[in-house]
Amino acid sequence: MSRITLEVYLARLYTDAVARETFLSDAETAARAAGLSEEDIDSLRTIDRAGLRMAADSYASKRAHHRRPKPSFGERLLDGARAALKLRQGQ
Amino acid sequence: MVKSKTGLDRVGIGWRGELAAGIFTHLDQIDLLEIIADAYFKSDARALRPLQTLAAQVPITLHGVSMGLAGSEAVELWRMDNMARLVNTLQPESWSEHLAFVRAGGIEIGHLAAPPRTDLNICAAIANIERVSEIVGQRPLMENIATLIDPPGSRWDEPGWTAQIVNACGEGLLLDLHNLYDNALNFGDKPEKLLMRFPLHRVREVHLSGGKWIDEPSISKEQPSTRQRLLDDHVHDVPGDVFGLLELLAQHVAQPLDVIIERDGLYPDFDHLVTQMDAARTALARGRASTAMMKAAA
Repeated sequence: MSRITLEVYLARLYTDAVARETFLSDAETAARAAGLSEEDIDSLRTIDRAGLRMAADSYASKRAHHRRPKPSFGERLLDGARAALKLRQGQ
Repeated sequence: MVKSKTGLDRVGIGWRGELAAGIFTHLDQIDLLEIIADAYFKSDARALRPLQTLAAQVPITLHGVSMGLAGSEAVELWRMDNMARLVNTLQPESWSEHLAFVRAGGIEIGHLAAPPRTDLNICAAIANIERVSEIVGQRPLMENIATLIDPPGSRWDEPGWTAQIVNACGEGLLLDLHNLYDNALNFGDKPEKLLMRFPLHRVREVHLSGGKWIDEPSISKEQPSTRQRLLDDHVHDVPGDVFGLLELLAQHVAQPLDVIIERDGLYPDFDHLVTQMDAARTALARGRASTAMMKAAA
């Protein structure tokens, strides 16, 4: 099996829920199966597991946000003006 | 390019369409605007004209969010070409990107991720920054990011890794003080101590934003977590402690600082954002005054 870098493996763990749960249940076996070097496998033994889940959730939320259709510049401008008006009326 | 309206330090805000009305009616209180470059990469010359008009009224900086210059893979040419075209068209005072990777092995993470801080990664980041500087024709300011995970495989701490990259490239640092604050609190550092370990002589620009505390998940039933971590979400006010860090920074550097308030949602009345900009000016002034007092006493 060809070697992959730790960055590539982290990108997979951040974006692939199945890969992440497999890794969290047995980090060493999952990392070895993915083709990481012994040095990288060693560094993953002490990975911040809660941080991994939190980072992955945060990235998933960002990706979902990116997929949402973006309003046009004019629509955003109007939304801003409406929100400002609403705030002023509420004061 | 228009001249700054203030003296040494300048304070501005990130340009967002939702804030446009407020920005236009408060231009006299805004020293500079930061524009998210990626939002205009697909814009043709005609669509960029309003931004050119804006740039004629207030100094602008461009901010990239998707290049991944601190990734170990080479950044694709088309991404750098996009920035070069925008810089050429809008002639900003500066442009910036993040010390982050955003993709690897064809996988798009979707946001800024902290790479393992290794010697190999430092070399790759320097190569990426040198190449993009050549293509864009101007060196980027490089920004520290917030991370919810301490990147595994790291041989350097964040300030040391950052210093290695920015010192080697000779470029400026865009220091995001809320990112620094988050990382310090999330990983057991004191924010003030962490700040002082960064290469402060390189700081040219500062980002200020806010965030919220989120629950840390339990890793197992046997080990329920009661801890929380701070998430940098850009939809809350800048905390007082972060203005305190700005004051400390201003106290310890001689060079002028450009400070940008970042707000990406839950937009308050624009007057509220003006008070945040004023708070930044106050922090800067306090920091500068403190230095002046110390010099006078010496």
